[in-house]
Amino acid sequence: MRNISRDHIKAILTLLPSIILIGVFVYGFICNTFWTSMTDWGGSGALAENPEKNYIGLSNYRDLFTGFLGGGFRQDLVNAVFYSVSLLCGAIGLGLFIAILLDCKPRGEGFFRTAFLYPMSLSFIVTGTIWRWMLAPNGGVNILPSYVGMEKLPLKWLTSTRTILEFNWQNLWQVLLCVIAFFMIMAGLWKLKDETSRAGKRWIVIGVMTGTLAWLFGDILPKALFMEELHGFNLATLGIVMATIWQYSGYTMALYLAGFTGISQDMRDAAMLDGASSAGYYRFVALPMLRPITLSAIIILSHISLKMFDLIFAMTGPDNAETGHPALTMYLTTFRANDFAKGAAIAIVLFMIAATFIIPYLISSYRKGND
Amino acid sequence: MKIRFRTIGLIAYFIFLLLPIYWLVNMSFKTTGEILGTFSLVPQNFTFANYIMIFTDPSWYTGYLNSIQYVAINTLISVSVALPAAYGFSRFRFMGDKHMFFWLLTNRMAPPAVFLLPFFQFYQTVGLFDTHIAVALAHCLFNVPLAVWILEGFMSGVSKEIDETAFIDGCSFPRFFITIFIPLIRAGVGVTAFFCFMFSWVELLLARTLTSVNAKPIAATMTRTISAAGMDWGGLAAAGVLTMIPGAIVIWFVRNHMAKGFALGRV
Repeated sequence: MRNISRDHIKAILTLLPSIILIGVFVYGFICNTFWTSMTDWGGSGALAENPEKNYIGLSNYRDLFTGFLGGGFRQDLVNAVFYSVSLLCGAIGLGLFIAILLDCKPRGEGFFRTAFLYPMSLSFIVTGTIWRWMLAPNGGVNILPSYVGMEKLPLKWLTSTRTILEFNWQNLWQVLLCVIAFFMIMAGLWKLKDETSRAGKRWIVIGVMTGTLAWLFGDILPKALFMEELHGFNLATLGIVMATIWQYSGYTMALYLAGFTGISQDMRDAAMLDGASSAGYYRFVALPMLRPITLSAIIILSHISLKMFDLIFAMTGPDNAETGHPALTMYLTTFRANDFAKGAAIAIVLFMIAATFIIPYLISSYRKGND
Repeated sequence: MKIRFRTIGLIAYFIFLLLPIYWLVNMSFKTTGEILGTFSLVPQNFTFANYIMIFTDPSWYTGYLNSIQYVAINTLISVSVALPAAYGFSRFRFMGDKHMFFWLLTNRMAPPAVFLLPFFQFYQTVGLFDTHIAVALAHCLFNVPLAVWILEGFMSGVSKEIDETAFIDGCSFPRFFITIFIPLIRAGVGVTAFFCFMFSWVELLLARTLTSVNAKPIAATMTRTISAAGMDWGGLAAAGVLTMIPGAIVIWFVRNHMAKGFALGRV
């Protein structure tokens, strides 16, 4: 008994420095930002000795989501969603593919591994500078085909103003419900394939019902905005996605490669003996075993895409509405427009989105810990 | 046939990764006129002018020194704070230790934008604004949890019996920790230092906001050049090449330990 209590004291002593540092700074600061977002701090007197701050409740948030001038922010949110999704697909897909190629220990594997990891240690500003030049109308990527005798590509990477997948922000609730329904159906199908459980069917039924209801009776739902406002996926974001994939596919590659190396050779031999092809082995044996790695890659990449600021700043500049991002808008609102309260509100929205990614992760790791 | 496909894939990816970097290096040896005017794979008028400009213009090279300074401070603080914490997590079992560990890690995931304003206010109040230590401390926010996470993985790989033997032999805790334990996990310390270094080195939002003149990082200097009319592409490229060098050096030192870090699932 005495031994245990001494262990406790030691544990507390060793942990205290980190915990105090993080407790005060993280939680204190988040609360502080939250409080700021509920005030009207800003304007010309914002940097005075004792700036005037009045409590105004949630009206900053209302402004952002439904206000007349919040359109830019709403476009940023849509951008961030598309950006995250395409980054996740691209980086994980490419990383996984390269990891599979490297898995069989070709010659120079160690060299490739280090080289592939290297872009990650570049500053985003440098990546941005490189890719800004590569994607310039007369820059690298467009000119490359002319070396093999073809026409120059006419693509406008970063200055494109075309949007695809447009939707009206007024019908936000309807669109959201449809998206949720879609994911429920997908989850149901996924479960159904794994095992013939009831849960899968239930997911599908609920998903289909929500989807059709939202589709048919979406007009009853309250309008999110008093006027029509179209938002969609700006193609200019693709260039930024490409640069981020360039930087982070090496990282996902390293994650998966470590995972593949961790699977024992016996497992592989057993799968091959049972007649699995190489593709089958990865699809049905290796990938399901590496689900935790996929999860942590998703968490890390979505975190990176949510805080993306420097790369966009370097690639398209701070004032390019087409490729805006909440973190960038937060910076500009706060430190250029001096609207501290609204900047804080944007930051809190970002934080909430990040939390929706983190909480499932926490729950799953909690479950794993209990097993 | 199979082998060939694999080789082609790897080499294509390699080129995809390397081409942009080559482009940057290539650009840094050209004059701005040549960069904008012609298009060539090797510089036609090879020039060091861009580098000379950076090493002689104080607004460039101080940015470089500032970055190195706060990154070094941050790495030092993060690793030294995280060492005892990681030891605590790997050696002692107490109520809720696992939950606390994950809780610690999630702190890293909070977007830095949330902390921007409070840090700004806080540093203005205590007079730390625009100092190296200010940026270093702000970066601890996401580096300390990461460092604890990586170090704990490495420490759990060291058998607990080593600790016990040392204590039975009458070794005091601090002495054991510094002279026996840390050398045992020096690979882990190296990997941790690399990641702290890297995340602090590439972070811009906090570093840019919390500094104005005296501790301005090189990345912020680069963005200033970007937003100015008429870009100095050559200078920018040279600065970019220079910021790549520290990362390359550090990655070279830890390249052999890196695989172990990834294998532990802790990176």
